[in-house]
Amino acid sequence: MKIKKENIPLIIGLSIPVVMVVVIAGAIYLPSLFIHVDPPKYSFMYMSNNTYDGYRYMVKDSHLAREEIKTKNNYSYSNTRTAHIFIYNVKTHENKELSFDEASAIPLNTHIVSEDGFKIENGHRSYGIFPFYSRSNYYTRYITKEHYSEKLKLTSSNTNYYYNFRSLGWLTKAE
Amino acid sequence: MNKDDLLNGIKSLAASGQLQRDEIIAAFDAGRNEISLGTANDVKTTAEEQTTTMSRYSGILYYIGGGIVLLGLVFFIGQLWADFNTFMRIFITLGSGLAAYVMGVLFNREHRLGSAGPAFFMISALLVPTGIFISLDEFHVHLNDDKIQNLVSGLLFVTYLVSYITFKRFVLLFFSCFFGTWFYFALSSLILNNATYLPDWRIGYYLFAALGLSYLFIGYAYEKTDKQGLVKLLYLLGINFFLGSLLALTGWKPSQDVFWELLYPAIVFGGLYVSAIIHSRIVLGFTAMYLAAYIIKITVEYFSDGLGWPLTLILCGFILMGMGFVTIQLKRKYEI
Repeated sequence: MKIKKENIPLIIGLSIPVVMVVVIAGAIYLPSLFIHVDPPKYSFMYMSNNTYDGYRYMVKDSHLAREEIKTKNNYSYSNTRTAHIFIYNVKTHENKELSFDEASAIPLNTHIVSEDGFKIENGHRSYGIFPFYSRSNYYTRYITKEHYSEKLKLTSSNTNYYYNFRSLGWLTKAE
Repeated sequence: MNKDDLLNGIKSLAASGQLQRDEIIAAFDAGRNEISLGTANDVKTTAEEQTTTMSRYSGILYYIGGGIVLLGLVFFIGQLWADFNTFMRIFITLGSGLAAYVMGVLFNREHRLGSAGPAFFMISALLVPTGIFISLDEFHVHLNDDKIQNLVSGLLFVTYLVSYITFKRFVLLFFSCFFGTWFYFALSSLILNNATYLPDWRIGYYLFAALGLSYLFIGYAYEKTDKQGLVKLLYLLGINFFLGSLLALTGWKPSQDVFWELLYPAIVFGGLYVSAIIHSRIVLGFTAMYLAAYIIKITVEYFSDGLGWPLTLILCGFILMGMGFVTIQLKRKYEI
């Protein structure tokens, strides 16, 4: 098939976006074919962050602890929004809710990076409808290491929210 | 030569037998014919101009009319929306869009109706996506899901591109570009969101730069056609997407990208050269603007500490004046 000379700019113009999409796909998927990263082994504990149940939560001596918030003017935060504590299983992607007593008995590694080199990152996912896209999204979270990344299926869209997610630490026992 | 000289010349040539009576009459008639033909051509040109102006005005009126119809429809639907059931909501939006498309196809065949066909194509291009999204929403499908975005944009892109190839109407080409752009971003988002490796967030700049370059090429492909409105729009968006994204890629101290900072001036000078080739004032003007922006950026980024702010400002002012002068010189030299 012979291409007419005057059609060449049009062909180039239409090819550029196609090539770009192919390049992006290649840049994303090709490294994962050649660089093998073992999946994460260590699960992590997290809690809903916007709690007003009268306690301040922290990790002390590698265990979850809490202190009662004492207010001068008798204003009470208690039980307006209870804290929910979960363990996210990195193998099965299941969320298990724990009571404070159960959670405080589990030893935690509070380093940002887990023992096997993984960390939790906010998503770079786009959302919205064309042309109103946004690329900085805090609604999704990923467990990442080098060229490996897996989307986390946290309890609900409510707890996925940026201000409503607080990572407490990695479990010290591998799954 | 005046009239007396001419008549004396004819007398002397006739006396010597070099000129015949018929030759003089033939020359006289030919002269008369030229005058009458010239007048006829002038009349014809004026008539053609009038027809073109008329059809242009009628086209504008068709499009304004189409816009008003659409606006009326939106208000009408808005007033009764709460009373409509699912079927009516889909019927009134998607149904109207499809009906407008069919009207566009039917009117497009009737050349005496001018731009009525394209006006209906415009209404359909605005109503059909709205209708599709309302239909999906009625069935509780997430509209910002990547797969849905790809499906809708891909479907609309193919439909309007095929329609353009079939009917060759400007409005169809315009919406093909629009839906094509949407599909391009939807597809790249689908790939990025399903990535097992999180890419650099600057990928958005590369996407826009590629899109800008694509617009410039598509604009150039239609340069010698009657679709000048679209060509100018593509040049305007293309040059801004392309040079704007690449300028953003250069970054800012201390996280600047030296590779793009070094390459950018070469690309901008390439842009000036291209503007001379394609004789585009839009490309020339914006390229000069981006060159000035780049020079100011580099001056402020690297030399403001040494020079101090007042001197930097004076320098930036002179740079802008210099760019204005260079642009005018280029415009004159290459008749852009």
